[in-house]
Amino acid sequence: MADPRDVGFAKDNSLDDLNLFVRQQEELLGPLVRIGNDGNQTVLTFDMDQARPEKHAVIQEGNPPASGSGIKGKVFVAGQLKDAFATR
Amino acid sequence: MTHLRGLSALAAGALLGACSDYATFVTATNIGISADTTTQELNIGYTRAELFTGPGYPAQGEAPRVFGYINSDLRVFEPHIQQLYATGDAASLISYPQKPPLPTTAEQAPPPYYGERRPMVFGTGSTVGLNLKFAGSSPAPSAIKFGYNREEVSIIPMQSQTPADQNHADRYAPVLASMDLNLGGTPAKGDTKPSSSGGADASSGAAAGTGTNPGATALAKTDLGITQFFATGTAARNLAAYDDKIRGYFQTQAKEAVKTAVLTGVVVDSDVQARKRQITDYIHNLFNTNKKTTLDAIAKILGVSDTNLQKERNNIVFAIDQRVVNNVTMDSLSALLKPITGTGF
Repeated sequence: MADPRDVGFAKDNSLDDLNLFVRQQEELLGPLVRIGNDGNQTVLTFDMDQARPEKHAVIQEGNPPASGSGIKGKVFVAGQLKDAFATR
Repeated sequence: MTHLRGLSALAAGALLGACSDYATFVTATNIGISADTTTQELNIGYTRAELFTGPGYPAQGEAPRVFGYINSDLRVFEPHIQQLYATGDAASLISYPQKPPLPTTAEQAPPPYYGERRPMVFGTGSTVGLNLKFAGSSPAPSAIKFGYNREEVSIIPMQSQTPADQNHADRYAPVLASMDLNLGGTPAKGDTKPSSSGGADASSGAAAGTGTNPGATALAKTDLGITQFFATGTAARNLAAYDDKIRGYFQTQAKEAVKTAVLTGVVVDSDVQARKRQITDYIHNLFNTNKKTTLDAIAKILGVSDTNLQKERNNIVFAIDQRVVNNVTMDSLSALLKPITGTGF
């Protein structure tokens, strides 16, 4: 079972703020499972049917390492859409 | 719009002056072309105005309840429009997500028409197609309306004296008007232009509505191009509470809007986050120990009930997360739930 819920985050925030927000949301909702945007803001998806993670996801700019696993998408960082990926 | 202006000016002049013991709610909608040489106004396209004036209750943080809604594909030819207008209890009932229980026999007693009598005005005016007005003997029209035009106005009296306390509170009478207009053969898809306005109170009610509906497939299949309601008092309350068609105008759109909207979250201070974690842990503990009754009660207060208990838990946690952004909102939530939880967070 999965119960994904979308939460927006304002586009003008920094990457540090975005990661703080991810940590706070994972503490309440569950693990981050998708990153993206709706054109106006960053949209993060958390699966509320999964247990809240001990180790939190971290979003980084750029493309994930070829061998690495993670979530990939385009998010806003300081107002600009950036390729990003999240790992934990 | 001149119709509305005339009606509201007449009523305002006759009744109101600068009194705050009347509540006035006005909407005016024009889709198409509207020109008036008297006011030297020309509108092309979509124009809508919504205005409420009346008493506010700053000590209570309240205002009279009003509701204005329009949903249209904005076509000048063969338009689909739904419009709804409500005040007082009718505004509350139409915007409430669930139907209330059917009234008991005692509640169906004759309305309480006693006490001081005051003038009240409730009216709507609608035109579809071409409407020309001529002034004097001039062959040229003084006003032209082409397309869809509707005005709704209510001027509802409050009690004359200042409401001293809860037992002597103002009551805002309910009125309700609705319009469902569909002159097209097939409903439009996706082209919607919602608009609404609202406030809060306790006094009289009336409701009126008109509309063309992009989603009114059933209506489009019929020969009937227009449906219109106009009601006051208990009739307005009943239509707002129990009429599926009228409730459907707003409820469907509201549900879709909620479904598609992604709410924007914010980073909260560490102490607020700790309180959010505390209440989230409490909700999870209720779920893990199968405290269904408590979870149901919390979900009901937050308006997120679900028959699936895990889904309901998730709904509650998500609602709390969305609602709490600082210590003030956390305090408010904690106080709201305390009768159920028996503790503060």
